Amino acid sequence: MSKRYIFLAGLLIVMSLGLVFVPAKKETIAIHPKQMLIKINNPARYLSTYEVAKRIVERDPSLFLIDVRPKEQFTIYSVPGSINIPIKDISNPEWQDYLDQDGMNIIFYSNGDVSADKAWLFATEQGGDHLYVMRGGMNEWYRSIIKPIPPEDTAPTEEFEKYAFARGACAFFMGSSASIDNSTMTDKKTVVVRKKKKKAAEGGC
Amino acid sequence: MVVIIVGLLTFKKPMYSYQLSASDMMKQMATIQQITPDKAVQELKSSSAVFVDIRNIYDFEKDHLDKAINLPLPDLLSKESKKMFDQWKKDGTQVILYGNDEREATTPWMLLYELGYTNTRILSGGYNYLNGLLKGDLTADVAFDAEQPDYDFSAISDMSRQNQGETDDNVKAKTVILRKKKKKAAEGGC
Repeated sequence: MSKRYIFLAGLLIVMSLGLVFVPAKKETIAIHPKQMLIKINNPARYLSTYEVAKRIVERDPSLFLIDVRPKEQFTIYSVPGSINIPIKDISNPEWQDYLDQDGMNIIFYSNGDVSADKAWLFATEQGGDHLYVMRGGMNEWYRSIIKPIPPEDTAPTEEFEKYAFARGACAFFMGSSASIDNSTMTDKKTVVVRKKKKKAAEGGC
Repeated sequence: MVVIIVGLLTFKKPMYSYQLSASDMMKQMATIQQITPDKAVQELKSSSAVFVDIRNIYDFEKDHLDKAINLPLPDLLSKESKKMFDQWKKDGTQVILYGNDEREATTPWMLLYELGYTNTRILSGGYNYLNGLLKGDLTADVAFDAEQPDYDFSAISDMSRQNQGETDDNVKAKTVILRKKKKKAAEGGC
């Protein structure tokens, strides 16, 4: 009886030695490739410029905009309230906190939507959640919000509603009548909710 | 004992495993040369590269590049696709992915590259641009470089700055104080 135990214990020790020769595991992507492909194939991550503008105007507190264009372009003009993480620096660990925030909807945008989509893939592979891409990027933002084209007379009512909204949103963003609103939007930049803050609730009864 | 042996025997290697981490991918991406439409035209003639069409079957049936193989996006990692990709990798054949525009092929390509298929590239500008180039009717709204700013954005910021006027700084200071007050109010218990 005891001999058998000794044999089993010895066998386990020998087998465990094998682990010593297993190569060190590199930092890998946790999400399964097929799962990732399903996410890539899902168009739900794309938000139209209208949806984004609407959320800004409505002061959606869960909205977090990330501009992935180069810094020079960001300083010239950006969507109000957004922060800048250039796509070439996005793998820098210092941005990790920004890319995975609890309770925040992160929206990436660039001039088109190729770079924003790349950023989306990166953040998703890092385990981020609630990540979105602004469809059409800044070019579409300009076309649909800043300089909206009036719809034709035969267009559906929806188009007119969109146009009316864009006109209003444009006044909001350009600060023609609402300069105070505009500056509060830019102030929002500095607020970063880090995950670490999730400590037990203070006080209470 | 038996459990361990059975476990060892039935242990299957996963079909796909990542060869690159997400951050390595982002670092390497900047150095990878994609296929320009001009180069793609040459490749179509020389037929040394394989074109993979990731659009759905209907789009593919309607029109596609000569000699392109249709692997719709949802089937990109299926067993049959894997066989093909493995073969191309073994032969060192260059694989050119394309969708309607560049965006459609970008994230699938990144995934394939991370899985170790480093012989794959994207067709810049996508099918829409190349098709226009081949047929000689490029319309203005089909861009080759999707990341090019189409408009002068500096004009917008000038305009909004003018509208906001000089009182901007004062307003900003005020709002900061407002926010602090809010935080204090939230701290209390019951």
